[in-house]
Amino acid sequence: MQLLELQRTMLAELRQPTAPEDNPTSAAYLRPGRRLNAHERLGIYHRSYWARLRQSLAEDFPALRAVVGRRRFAALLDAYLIDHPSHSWTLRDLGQHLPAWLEQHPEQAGRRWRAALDATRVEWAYVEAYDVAALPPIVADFHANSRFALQPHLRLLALSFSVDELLPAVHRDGRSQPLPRLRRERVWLAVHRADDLVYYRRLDPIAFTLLQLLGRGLPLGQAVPEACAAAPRGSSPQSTADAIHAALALATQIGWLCSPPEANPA
Amino acid sequence: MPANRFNGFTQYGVGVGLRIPHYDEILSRRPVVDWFEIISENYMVDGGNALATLDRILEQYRVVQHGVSLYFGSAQRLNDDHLRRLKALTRRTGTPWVSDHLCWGSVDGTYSHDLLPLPYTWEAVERTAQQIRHAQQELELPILVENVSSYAEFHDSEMTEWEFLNEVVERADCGILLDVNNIYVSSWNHDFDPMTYVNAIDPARVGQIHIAGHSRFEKYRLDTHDHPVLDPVWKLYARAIERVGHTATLLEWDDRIPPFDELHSEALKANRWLASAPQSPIAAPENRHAAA
Ligand SMILES: [Fe+2]
Repeated sequence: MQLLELQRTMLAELRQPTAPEDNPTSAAYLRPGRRLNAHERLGIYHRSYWARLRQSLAEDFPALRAVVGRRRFAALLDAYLIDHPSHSWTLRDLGQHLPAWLEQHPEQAGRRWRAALDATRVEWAYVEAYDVAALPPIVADFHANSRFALQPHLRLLALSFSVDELLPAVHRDGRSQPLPRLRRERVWLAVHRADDLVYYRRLDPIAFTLLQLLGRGLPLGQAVPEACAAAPRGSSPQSTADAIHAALALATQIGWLCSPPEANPA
Repeated sequence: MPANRFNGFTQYGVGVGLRIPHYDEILSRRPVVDWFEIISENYMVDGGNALATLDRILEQYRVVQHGVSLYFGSAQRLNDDHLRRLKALTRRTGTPWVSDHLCWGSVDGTYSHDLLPLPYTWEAVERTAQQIRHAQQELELPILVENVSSYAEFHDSEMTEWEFLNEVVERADCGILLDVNNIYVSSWNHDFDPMTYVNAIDPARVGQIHIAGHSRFEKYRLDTHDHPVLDPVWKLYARAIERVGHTATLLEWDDRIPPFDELHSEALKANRWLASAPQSPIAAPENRHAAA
């Protein structure tokens, strides 16, 4: 058998959810040994393939497990891995399609699907915020024409559940303590890195919208009126203006605003 | 031969793998350690804590890069993005050499994240040597290729593993990272004499040695890196040092990681053999052309 054909066949067999021991057509290219037959030999690699990928996802998505429960989580991971095997040299990327996949597969999460989706999105944001690049922040003059890029590690998530309260608890591995109950509420969350640690910070809807729009490259003069539209009903013009100022002050202070790409000479 | 062109003419002694549970202790207590081996892939990122910690380690220690997913034996070409990031990291660490495994692990862009065994065929010899050569050119650093533990053998194999290793490294003109624990594990799983393997490798190409612990099951041995080094592995190490001379030696411990001092003193047991190791030019290999 040619090398490429052999490797394609073997990897396809490792990716099968059924163990090679239960598949009589597998491992035809392997020699039996004195103590193990060919299927059992392939089985060692099969177990290790699944264990390694499951473990990697379990480490990255403990809040998802807390939301859907241990048993459903195990089935969900296997279903995801069949649809999305690793396409990267690093396991760090393994969960990158999980938020979008879970959105398409509500049946995998059961009745707590929406909360599970929120947990997954925040946990993937954590993985990204942990090690993507940081750009030098700028202290900006704010004009109508000002444009910005957002800090690459900043992730903005609009959530329907208080999963940000669950995350520190599951990350502490606080099995001895009961996990906080998830509440249904609108949460505008910033996930970002500071001093090499990842933080969750709740924003008000105006700050959240303003940052989102600036991140899309809109000039400040265009982003501000659109962000004002996100003000809670009944807000006074003054409180809305204060919220805009506070948002820009916060973003500057934390270092979320960076030069837009075109401002960086090549 | 303490130093050769495959380890950048360095004279490294006993090192240990840099692992996250030891970060704080190493940075605060600054133990005397000859060198650290890092898993390259853990630091091939653009920012964050791993890189920041690595930079602090580099201020005080020598670091050597060991990779786990370049997959020289893959039938398809190496991942260019991986190579580019790996090269950037080598510039940061100043590693005198780069190692990865004699195995494959991905096909058509799908990754197993495992060190999968190769059939010992002439096609695999050519392919693997060609990819190592390519990586060596791209990285502009010597490459050491490491023998892996294996649990399977192929009908297609045309030679023994040690013959295969010697053929690959000669054609690639690269060095060997000899893992004596992996030799032991494979020898038990495939019923060969591990000493034959150690005696057959080309000692002139060995630039580093790995020692590690493994797990014993009823019907096979598994390379788990979660135990102290076992006696038969020390015996192979002793013989390897006898043949190769004083060589950079690293203890691998990846699971159930003990406190740093315990791990380091386990590694330093290697000095028992290194201290009396020959420093003179090495003898000719005993079994180098057995496959021809
Ligand atoms: Fe090794």
